[in-house]
Amino acid sequence: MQTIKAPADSRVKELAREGGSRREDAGGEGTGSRVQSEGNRRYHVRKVLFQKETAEFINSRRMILFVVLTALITVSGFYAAVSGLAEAIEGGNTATDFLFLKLFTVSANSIPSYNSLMALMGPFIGIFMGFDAINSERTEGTLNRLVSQPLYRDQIIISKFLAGLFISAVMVFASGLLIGSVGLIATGLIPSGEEVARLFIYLCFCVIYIGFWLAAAILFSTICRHAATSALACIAVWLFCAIFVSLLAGIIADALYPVNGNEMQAMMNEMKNYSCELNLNRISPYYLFAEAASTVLNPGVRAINAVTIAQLSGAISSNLTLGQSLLLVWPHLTGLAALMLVVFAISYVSFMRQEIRSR
Amino acid sequence: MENGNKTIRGRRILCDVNLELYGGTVYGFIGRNGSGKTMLFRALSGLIRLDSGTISLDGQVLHRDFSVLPSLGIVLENAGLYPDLTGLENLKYLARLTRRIGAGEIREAICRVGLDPDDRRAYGKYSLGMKQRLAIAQAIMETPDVIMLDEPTNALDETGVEDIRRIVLEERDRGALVLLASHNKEDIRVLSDYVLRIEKGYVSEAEVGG
Repeated sequence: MQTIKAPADSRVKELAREGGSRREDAGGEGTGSRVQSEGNRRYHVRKVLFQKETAEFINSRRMILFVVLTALITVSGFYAAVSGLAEAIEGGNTATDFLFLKLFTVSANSIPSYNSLMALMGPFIGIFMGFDAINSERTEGTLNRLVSQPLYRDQIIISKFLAGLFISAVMVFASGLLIGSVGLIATGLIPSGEEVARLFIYLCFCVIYIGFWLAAAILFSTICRHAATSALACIAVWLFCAIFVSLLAGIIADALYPVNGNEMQAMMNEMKNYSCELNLNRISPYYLFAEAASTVLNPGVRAINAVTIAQLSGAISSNLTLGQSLLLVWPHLTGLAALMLVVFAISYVSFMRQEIRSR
Repeated sequence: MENGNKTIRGRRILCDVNLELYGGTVYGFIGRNGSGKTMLFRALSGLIRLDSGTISLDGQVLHRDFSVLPSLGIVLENAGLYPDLTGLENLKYLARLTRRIGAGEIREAICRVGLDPDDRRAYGKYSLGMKQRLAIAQAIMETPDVIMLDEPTNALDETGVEDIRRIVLEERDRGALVLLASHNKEDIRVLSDYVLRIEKGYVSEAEVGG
């Protein structure tokens, strides 16, 4: 084991020192302050990365697809609402105090409501933004370049996530406000303060829901080598959550608490079966979002768990206040936010532990 | 680097590497494809971690006191710039992260490598040689203390090779530590003050030109 030492005379060391000090001097020019606190520097780097990520996404061709998808959700949802609103009122199955919110929940002519469309298609918005966040940079070699800069590596992945979340928030709020404003003109329904608050909370829900899928997409882009693989993996998870979880939940609940056969046993198991299926369904972010969103948008929803006839007897039929509706869906909101953060934390740790090399 | 070892997927990439390198010197690294030159650069820069051993700079240890070398210019096998941005935009973006230099220095660096800073073409439309030049401009624009160049004259025409050789020598004279990996013996002979051979992860001294 031999140590290879290069010759270093005093002239060379002197030159090295000069070079270093020249670089320090250059720092002030064109930048403003030379001495920056570590916190400021981190903030600055994050801001630059965030701006870059946002600008790159907005200028990309993918943005067109993204806008088309959001527009489809908006237009279809609005069309369904306008077509089905009168029918819903006449049917008497709606709380007439909150008609404005029906713009987001009413479906018609087999066109799903805005809320259903968001639950089903919203994940694609997150997936579009994050499925190649890390692996495309790795493939193009830009990650090499970026991490060889003197910056904290975690700022790269945090900025990507924040930029994605910001863009989805802009799109969701723009879409929600568009439906609200066009709905206001088309139907003449003026929203009450509570309706506006409920709509705002609902749109925040949408952002968190999409944020979960964005975090999942970034996770797959961190662990998969190719962008196509990570996109497929994301879609597979989406399919599983949207379709197969509910199928499996039914099968598992029936296996654990059978409701066929012996009438007595079936009666006893009915409640347990329902609760088991409901709880298993709630593993899926899709179900969590759909349940929470319909509760927030419909004040007439008074319970989200199984309710017995005994519990119903004597209950006064009225709408819930915003606070009470929020109490019902608070576990959903925190659960969804926690899911988003946990998935992002996994991708964060995975990214930080990875070595930057060609594969 | 002290007792540097690195194994990837069961293959030893660096074996007990001990190196002491100084500023104001060009170190030429030679070796076959896959001998570990690029991995050595990645390890020295902080892009990958050693399995065992330490890398230190002026008494500070890599991955303990800092995650990548604080003043580093690096060109690896892939230039790694953003294809949709122009050359100037690419360099401006990277310079904004560190805030060490302004637009003047960036333009000067682009001119030094023989490119036009006002070229409005996106980087993706550049020829291979132009991409290589721009990568080198990025590596030198902040006058870093350490410069690592992996095959810097690949894809360059004769003028380009001369430009890059001149730049390497200028950077050395400025006091920078330059690590140069190349299969081009002439580059190694003309530029290197000290030549090291890498073979199956082992580093040994070699003759200039050999």
